[in-house]
Amino acid sequence: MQRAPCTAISVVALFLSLALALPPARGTELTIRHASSGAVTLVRNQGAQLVAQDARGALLWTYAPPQLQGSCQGAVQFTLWQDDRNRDGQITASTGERALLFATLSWQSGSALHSQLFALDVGTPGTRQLLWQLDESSLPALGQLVSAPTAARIRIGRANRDPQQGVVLLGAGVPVPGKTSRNGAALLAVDASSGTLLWSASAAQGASQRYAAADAAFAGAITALDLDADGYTDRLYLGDWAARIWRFDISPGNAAATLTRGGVIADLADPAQPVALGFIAAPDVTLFTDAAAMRWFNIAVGSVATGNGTADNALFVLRERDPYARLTQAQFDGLPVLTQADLPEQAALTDSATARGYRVSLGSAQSAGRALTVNGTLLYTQFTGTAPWLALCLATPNVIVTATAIDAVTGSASREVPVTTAANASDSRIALPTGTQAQTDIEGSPPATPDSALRCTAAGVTLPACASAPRWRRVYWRREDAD
Amino acid sequence: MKAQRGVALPIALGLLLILMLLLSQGIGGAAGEARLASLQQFRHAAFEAAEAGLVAGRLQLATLGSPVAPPPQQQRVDASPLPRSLTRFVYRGESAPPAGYSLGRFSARDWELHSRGEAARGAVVELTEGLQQLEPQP
Repeated sequence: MQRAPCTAISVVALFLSLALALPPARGTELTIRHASSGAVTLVRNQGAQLVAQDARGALLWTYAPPQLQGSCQGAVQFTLWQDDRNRDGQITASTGERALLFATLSWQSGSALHSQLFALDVGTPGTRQLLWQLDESSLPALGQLVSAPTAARIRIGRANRDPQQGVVLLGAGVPVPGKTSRNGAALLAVDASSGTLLWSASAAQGASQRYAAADAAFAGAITALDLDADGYTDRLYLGDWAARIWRFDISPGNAAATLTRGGVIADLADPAQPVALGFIAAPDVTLFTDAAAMRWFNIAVGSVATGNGTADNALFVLRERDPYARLTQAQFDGLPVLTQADLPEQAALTDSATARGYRVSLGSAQSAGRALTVNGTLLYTQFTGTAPWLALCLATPNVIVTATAIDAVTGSASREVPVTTAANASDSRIALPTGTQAQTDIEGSPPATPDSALRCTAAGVTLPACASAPRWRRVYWRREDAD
Repeated sequence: MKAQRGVALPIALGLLLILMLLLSQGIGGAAGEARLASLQQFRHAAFEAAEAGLVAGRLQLATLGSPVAPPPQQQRVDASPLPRSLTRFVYRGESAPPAGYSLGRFSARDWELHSRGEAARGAVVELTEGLQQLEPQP
């Protein structure tokens, strides 16, 4: 595997050095409910450490990757896979149900960058057990930069070892801005139980499937969708380090060599800019239907600058028509790739019904968190200031993170956001607390009471834009009289 | 003396008969209308009872909360005197979230709520409501 050029490492080192000795960031928080005792485990990342508490706040366990102990020169991103077979929302260990935590880790040692993927079994209250871990020596494709992990269920021939076909999906590569050929960019699927590499896609030889255009690090987290509701993932969307959006269609049960068909659906790079754009967040994908019953996917993702400097970033919203069609590789190869020229600025959007999408200019601000669409309102975060994109466990005081709500179809500012909490009366943004990390996702949260509206949060702040989204919807109603 | 043959009596009797017929029809119609109105009233009472059953059913569904196990079917019997309701709800399974909600970030649970309202004179109204419960996914 090729190593990153020294310049790239210097850039990262600069970011890391900026990030040192700063207060811990608010991290992601995920919840496990244990059926045996009714206990609740809340897992979050506090700096570079994973911390689990019970519902009362008592410490249950911690896990700090040895590489990051004593410092925070790295990034820990994690996700939780709850193998909840009876769909009751609780983990019953006695019936074989499991809760597995997958985390990716990137850190710096000297001038070198390293990556790791590990899995913890967190299904038993109060305990955690390291199941497996992979690094560059055991899995060279990990490279130097790994995306946030995504848990999914994918049948890959007879290769799965996990009884539920659980896999961890992640992107990897070398953090070199723009498209550089054969820099080790790879998309990986690892068995959830054993850590065995099941499938990879890359331009490099040795990959399960080769995609010649995969010449930029897959830094963006992956959106894995189950479109036919059979419990298995059949569509992937992700962004790379060269501002491209990729789509992969999965053929369930196929062997690794023929598991996917895919390609670039949008190339949103702007060659005129001095600093290239890239994607870190997982694309937000939402189904919409117009008055003529035509369906499309709204695919929303914000960009970041991949180098040291400012870039003209944007929240890009693409429209993918006929979204449920399964494409052949020839169709993927012949797809018209969307560019920035196809996406007018939101204010210039004249016919939202026929547009191929739009963009909301962020200026020098960047967007690294995952957006969320609720009841037709698209919420996303953006940040200003210098953010160490690799040292995601950190927050810098000069970073200001805000949440914004817009109409997902037209891109216009949402009226749902009260201006009283915004910076000024004409601004639909909500400032998040100081110390919020740059990569803050918009999360859907359980409602405060069983029958109340859905809740959306960012860094623990409840966003009012979701308050009008009912948790219960009447789908049909009928009356019959008999006497 | 020539016998006189009067027609006044038969005519009067005929008119009286017609009058009685009309009167009886009127009384019958009024009684029918009254009966119909009464039936409508009982039907309305049955509808009100069924509506109340739906409200109670929705509340009961809501208290199931999340993420408590969705039972395949539950039943609530209101044994109060007439009018009364009998409510049951059926879990129909999971489906994709509706348009306008992020895919993979929300799940939708489909329920069907049945409420049978019963009132006097055998008045019965059955209401069926399809409900979708949206749940954020971790």
